[in-house]
Amino acid sequence: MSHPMIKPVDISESRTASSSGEKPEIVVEVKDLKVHIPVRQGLKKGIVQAVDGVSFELVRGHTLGLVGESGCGKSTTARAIMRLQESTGGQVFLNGEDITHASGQHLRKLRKHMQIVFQDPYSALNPRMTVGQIIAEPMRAQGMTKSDIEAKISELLVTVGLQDRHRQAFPHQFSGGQRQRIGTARALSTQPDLLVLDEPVSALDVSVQAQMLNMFSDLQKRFDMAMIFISHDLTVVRHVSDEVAVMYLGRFVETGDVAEVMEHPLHPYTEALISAAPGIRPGRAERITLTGEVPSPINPPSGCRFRKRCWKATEKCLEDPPLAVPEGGGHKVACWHPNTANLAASSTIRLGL
Amino acid sequence: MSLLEVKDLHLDFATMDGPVHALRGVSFSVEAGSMVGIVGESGCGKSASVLAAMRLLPSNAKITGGGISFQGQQLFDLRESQMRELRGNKMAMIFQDPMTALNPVDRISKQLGETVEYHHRSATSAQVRAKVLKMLEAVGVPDVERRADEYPHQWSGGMRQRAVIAMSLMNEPDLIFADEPTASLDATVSAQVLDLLATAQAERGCAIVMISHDLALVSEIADEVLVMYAGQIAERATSAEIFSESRHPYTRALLRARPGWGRREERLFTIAGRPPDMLHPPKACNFVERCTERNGLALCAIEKPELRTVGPSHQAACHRSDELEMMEVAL
Repeated sequence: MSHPMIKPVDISESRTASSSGEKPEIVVEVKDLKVHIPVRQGLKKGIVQAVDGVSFELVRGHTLGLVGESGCGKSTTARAIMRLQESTGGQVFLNGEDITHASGQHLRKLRKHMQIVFQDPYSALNPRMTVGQIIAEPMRAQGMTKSDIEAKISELLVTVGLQDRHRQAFPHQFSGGQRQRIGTARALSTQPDLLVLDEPVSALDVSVQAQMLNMFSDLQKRFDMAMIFISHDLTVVRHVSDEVAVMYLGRFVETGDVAEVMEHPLHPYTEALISAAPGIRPGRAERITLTGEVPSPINPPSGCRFRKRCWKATEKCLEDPPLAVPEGGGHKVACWHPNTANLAASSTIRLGL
Repeated sequence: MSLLEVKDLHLDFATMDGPVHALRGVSFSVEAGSMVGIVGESGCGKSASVLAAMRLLPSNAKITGGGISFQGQQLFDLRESQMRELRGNKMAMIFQDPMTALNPVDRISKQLGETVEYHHRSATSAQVRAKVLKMLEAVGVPDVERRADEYPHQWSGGMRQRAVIAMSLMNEPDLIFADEPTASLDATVSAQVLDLLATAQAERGCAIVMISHDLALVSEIADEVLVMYAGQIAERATSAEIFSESRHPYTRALLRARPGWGRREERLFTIAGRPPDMLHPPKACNFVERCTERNGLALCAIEKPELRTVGPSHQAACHRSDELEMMEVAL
């Protein structure tokens, strides 16, 4: 079976891009989001601070890349926004509405506006359902009529580069890349304003990965959604995102425009991540190899959470690091010793929130 | 004589649908003390080649031709008992997932000790323990006296992979196969593990064959890279050559499909179609259906290109390898 590239198809319901001059519309706003999960380890009780005070805004048509190592809270952040995980603090706004505590019928209605594509295309699709049934499920949940659903399935299959005849097939008949297309069709079925992609290409081979990344860019342009793209692969994040947030142990350590952050990283952790990625050590610089591993989120280090692995750590890092804002840019860093040499000469760093 | 010589290896896997021709004439050699990378996508035969050399293939696998010699011995002629003398001693393997490579019910120290005891029957338990602790220390495990007696589940993924690497190094092998050794690890930890492998190769002089799907990762540490496609070697070159002077359209496509670092391209290069069905492998060029650099050459659909020399240390299996234009890949 081939993977035909997506052809632009005119879909009447598809929104027109925000090129009509309207000001950027904030789709998601997150304020000081916290997800603390109580756990028991034998007799010891503890609290996993999976997400600990994350804030950001995301406008329509933009993609936020969430980068970090496993356990840093990037998936939990996305799941808390989607209300797949209860948050324990902070607020989430979707299209201006506080959805932090929405429940019941109302929450079900809200789900129409936010959808997710999961990492593992082998476990995200019910093996006993046909592709058509899988894609129809969110629409059935939203109460669409049967004939509308049937028409929409064909349209969605074409949108993600599959064919109408595939609706009768079962997931096991498809390759990993094709399954990820099915998962994407399901997510697009309710025309969400927010699409979360949780490591959508990590399980795929390089050649298939490229096809999927192209598809996601096409879909975003066409449907003008806000996207959150979660990945541990910096080159992939760099390719698809407009903004990036680097996470470490439940907190954002650096955020900003993707090119700016990747080319001029200010936080030592961002520098280490970039330097650890194969093949992309800018200027073939000596690799920064961090010692140790990410500490347990049950008892995170006091003050700056990165300080135990940081080669720049000082007494000051025992206090909480501020989010420093360089003049004239959205580039923020939570570090007492940012690599200011990496900043454009003109900008200075102002400490404080 | 090379340390390892794989000659014209053919390997089938028996399936319900018939034999899958996983390897179809794979030849390469590994020199003592060198670092060779094998790169390719799922199902290209990279792991099968290595498992064949360790003689750890599943029972449905059948060698249908060719052979592998290690230090002059024909591996397929050896009895299983002779093979056991080699494994863990002269040649060792590091698997992708350290959790499944370690026994969950035995202490780390016991598992590492077994490797020594098996091959050195006369060693006293004190000698074995000293050796285990020394090796764990060498791979960067802190507080070894205490931690060596813990169980695998008490160790993090990165530490477990260190234990597996320590285990592979226990008897100072001449050759280590590392099958995606960093695939299950995080970026900063995988950098540590790569450094560790490079150090092992440099300081102990053992040859390492590293398998990965990531061309960039392999070329960072390997001297030489083999690119496999559909059970055959598509290209063999030094790490530097593979980036700047690749002579095979598949390698070139792989390089171009990867998101670059320097400039953000609007669209990524994609490889259309999918690899050939290995139940019925193509008689002509494996890549002809997906090739964008064929330039209408009729020969590509008729005759299989042989792996031929295109430079002093460079071979490619493409009819047009001499005509392919130089390509700069921005990383």
